Amino acid sequence: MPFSSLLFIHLFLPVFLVAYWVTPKLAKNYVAIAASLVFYAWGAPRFLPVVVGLGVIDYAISHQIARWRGQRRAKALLAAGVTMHLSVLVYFKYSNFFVGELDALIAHFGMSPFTWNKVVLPIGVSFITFEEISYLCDVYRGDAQPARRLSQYVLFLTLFPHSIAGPIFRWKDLEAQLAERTQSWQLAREGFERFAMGLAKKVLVADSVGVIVDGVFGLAPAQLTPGVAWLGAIGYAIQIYFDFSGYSDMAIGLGKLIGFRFKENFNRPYISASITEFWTRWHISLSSWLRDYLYIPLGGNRKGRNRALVNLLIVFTLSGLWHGAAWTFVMWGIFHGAFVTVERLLGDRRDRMPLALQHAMTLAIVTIGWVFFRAGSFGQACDVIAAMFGAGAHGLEPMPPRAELMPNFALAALAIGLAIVLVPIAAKYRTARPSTEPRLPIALAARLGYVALFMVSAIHLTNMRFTPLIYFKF
Amino acid sequence: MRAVDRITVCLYVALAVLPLVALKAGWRDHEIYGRLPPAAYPERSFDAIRSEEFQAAYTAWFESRLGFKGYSIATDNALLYHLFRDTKPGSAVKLGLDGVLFNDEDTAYYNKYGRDLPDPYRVWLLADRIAEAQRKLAAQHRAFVPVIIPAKTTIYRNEIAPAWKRHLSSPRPVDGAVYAAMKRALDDRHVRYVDVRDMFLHSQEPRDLLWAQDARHWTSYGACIAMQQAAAIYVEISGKPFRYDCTFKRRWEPTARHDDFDLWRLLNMWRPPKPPNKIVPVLTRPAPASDTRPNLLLVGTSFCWTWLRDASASGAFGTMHMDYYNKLLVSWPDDVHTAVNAHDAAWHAAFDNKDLIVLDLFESYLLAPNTYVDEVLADLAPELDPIDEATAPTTGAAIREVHDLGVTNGEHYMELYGDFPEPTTPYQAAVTCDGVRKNATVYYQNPDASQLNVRFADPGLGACHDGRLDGVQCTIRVVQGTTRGAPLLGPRRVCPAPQGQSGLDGDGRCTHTCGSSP
Repeated sequence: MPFSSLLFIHLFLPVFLVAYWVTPKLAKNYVAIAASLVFYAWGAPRFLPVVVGLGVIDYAISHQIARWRGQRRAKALLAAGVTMHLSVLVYFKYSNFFVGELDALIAHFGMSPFTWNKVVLPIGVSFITFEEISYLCDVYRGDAQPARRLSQYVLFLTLFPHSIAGPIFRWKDLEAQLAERTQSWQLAREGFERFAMGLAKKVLVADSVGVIVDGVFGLAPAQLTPGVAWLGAIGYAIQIYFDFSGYSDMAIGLGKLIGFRFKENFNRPYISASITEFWTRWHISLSSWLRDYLYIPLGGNRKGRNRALVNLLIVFTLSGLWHGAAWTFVMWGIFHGAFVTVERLLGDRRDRMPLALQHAMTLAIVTIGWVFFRAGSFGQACDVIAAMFGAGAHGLEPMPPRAELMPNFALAALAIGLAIVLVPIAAKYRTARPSTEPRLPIALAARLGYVALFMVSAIHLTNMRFTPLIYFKF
Repeated sequence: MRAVDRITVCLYVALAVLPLVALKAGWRDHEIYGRLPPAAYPERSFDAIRSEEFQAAYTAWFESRLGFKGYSIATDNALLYHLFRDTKPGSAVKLGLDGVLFNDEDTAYYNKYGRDLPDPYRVWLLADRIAEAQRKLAAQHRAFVPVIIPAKTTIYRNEIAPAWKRHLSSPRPVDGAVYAAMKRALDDRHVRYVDVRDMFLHSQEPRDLLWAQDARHWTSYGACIAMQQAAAIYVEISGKPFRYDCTFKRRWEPTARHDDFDLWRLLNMWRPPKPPNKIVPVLTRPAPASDTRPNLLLVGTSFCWTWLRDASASGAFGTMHMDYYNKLLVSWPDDVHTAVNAHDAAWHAAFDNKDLIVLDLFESYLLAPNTYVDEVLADLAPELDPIDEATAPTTGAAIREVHDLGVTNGEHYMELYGDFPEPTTPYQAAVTCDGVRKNATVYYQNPDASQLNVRFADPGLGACHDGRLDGVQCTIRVVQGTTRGAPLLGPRRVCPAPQGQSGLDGDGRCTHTCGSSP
């Protein structure tokens, strides 16, 4: 049940909120757990016992780790816990990929493929396992205390605003809020406004631009002109940002509705002047997780420059694989890792370049990288990138993109999206004026604007879910 | 501000819950055209929930019944239309210039080129088969009239928006490879046909009188003048007098449900439909005498619906059927729909007694591979190849015994036993009763070459003698190609009889008395 679904907006959310708000404070967590389990079971009922079971095991292991902290047994318990979670992740997310690749390899030698029943990927498994691993690691390091109540830990894992597509929470950030949180009308209003903003980003911008992107990536290589290929790549850069950051906005908004204050997951990533900066602004919860639980344990930059560079490449490659079990994602990770490595090698020398050029280069690299992320295959990604640089069937022929690929509303959404992500680049280098409380009429107008945004998004969503019969009359 | 916060939060909750309340309360919604029937409430079971079938079905149920869905759809489509001049993505309706609406299949046809165009051989083959059907039916004084119906993109070519135009040569590739090629092939074979494309493009009438701006299909008037041309060819072929008048009491009605607004309805938005600038004057004329009314069969696409309703309203035709895409047989005016199953009783009822068979050759689908046109012509072909009594072979096969199975659904069934070699090659049957040739079909050949089952249109009751029905005298002949056949069987008495009975007594006389019901 995605947040941007009619069932969630018009049934689950209002029913849950009313139930949650009228429940006494002491029982609110149980209402939230029940709702979260229903929410999760709606999309992956067969995996629910696995999630809850792993949570119970984690709870038990974490207490033992805390008990034996500083001793070998704690380390062994941590290793067992992390191995368990990684095994779950590998089995559910990567076994089909690995078996498929192995089949292709042995078929190359004329052998018959394995008999393999495809494993269904449960929703949210990538996020949940990372949260579980970070919990055990933090308890082991002494950065967090083990959960005092199992119910709190189960709520942490399954809390519906984040259980399906993140952000990746850390126990130590939410521990206090899980035990005690305050609710106010102001926070609820802010929550709705953030939810409305996220819904609009997803439904009005990302999905609209997606029409262009789907059209471009649906073309045969021979139909790709440079203009069309760039349009598709830039469109996808906008689509994925508004889709994912919109989802994070909705998650943060939903958290506020029930008194949580989640960390931000995006911070205007396209205003970055380097790929390194980009990764401090894009999917912050993942990049910081990879830094704290992979890069630093690998040695980080403590073991010399060369080892740091290798560590960076490992982290980015695994980051790519985490996003999806396909070579295109791996390539995307290597691509970003390579540029971060180059930036590390260049060091301060990069700063001598004009700032505008740095921004332009960063945007171009990120945009090209997204082609790997979006393409259905490595071959398609190469075709699109080749077309972008005039090495496709049309060469550098300045043919305008086909108008049928670009409905006006999608172009408008793309233009709005580009303006939203690029205009703040100018603001980045201006001295920020201290923010003042807006005057009442402006504040009221802004609130009404958010309400209108929510309405328009919900209406648009309703329409997009309706497909009329073509020959209904006949 | 705290009060404002409360009001705002309540407003959000109210907006979120409003469609649910409307669903539960059954509040009236804005009409949605073209919606599927609402999904049924799913059955709850542990297995259904575990397999996620329940969740999917519940979501479908909820979304199909969501309150105020119609208002939402109309509002959103209106925003897309008025702000961006767009229809929703994936919509079958494309916006042209000056608000003219097009169907996406028609714009796709308009933009065809290269490998999407038909092979000339396909054009010749189809024309051959049409010519053969027309010639053979004409020999039976029946008219088989192909009608080339244009796509809207042909009639409103100047109104196609640049977004829906592929930059191709002029004239468009489809004009040469589809329309002109088909027309030339038909002309070369001396086929009599109606070219509505040419007729409409050269008409002096206002264009929207022939084809409404908001419609995918022609207007009643456009359809009627096309049928007039088909009727003229019928007169020419059959030699019988007939006049099809376009001033009968079928009229333009200013309602959203009128055919002229079929694409407008699919828009599902706030925008009034565009009525035609000129409306055909209506005169009510008396229907012709019943014995001069030809029976009509329409074969084709949704363009035939207008023809069918108008033909019915005109009172000019006898029995009427429509074969819709060779998938659905529609009997009119009783409006009974049955699935097409070639050569069964319903199919024979639709095809056998028709004086005028109109074949709709809709431009957008014309010459596409494996269309209803190919299917219908293939089904019709064996019916049009009667056994030639003079030259039919009479050796190599033999009918030794006949088992009369009586009448079912207007057809007489018989099992023929004997020697019928090479059972994998089809046999044909010819049945002549009291001198009248009946359309007969061999519907079963057993693999051991000893049995053929045939059926033919019920030959009737025959005369009455001494209070008993006479039945009719029928001869039966079966042949296999031009080399093998059985000697003529009969004449043999065939009596009206219920299913499974021969209707003959021990003396070879019909068992039924005159006036009794078989």
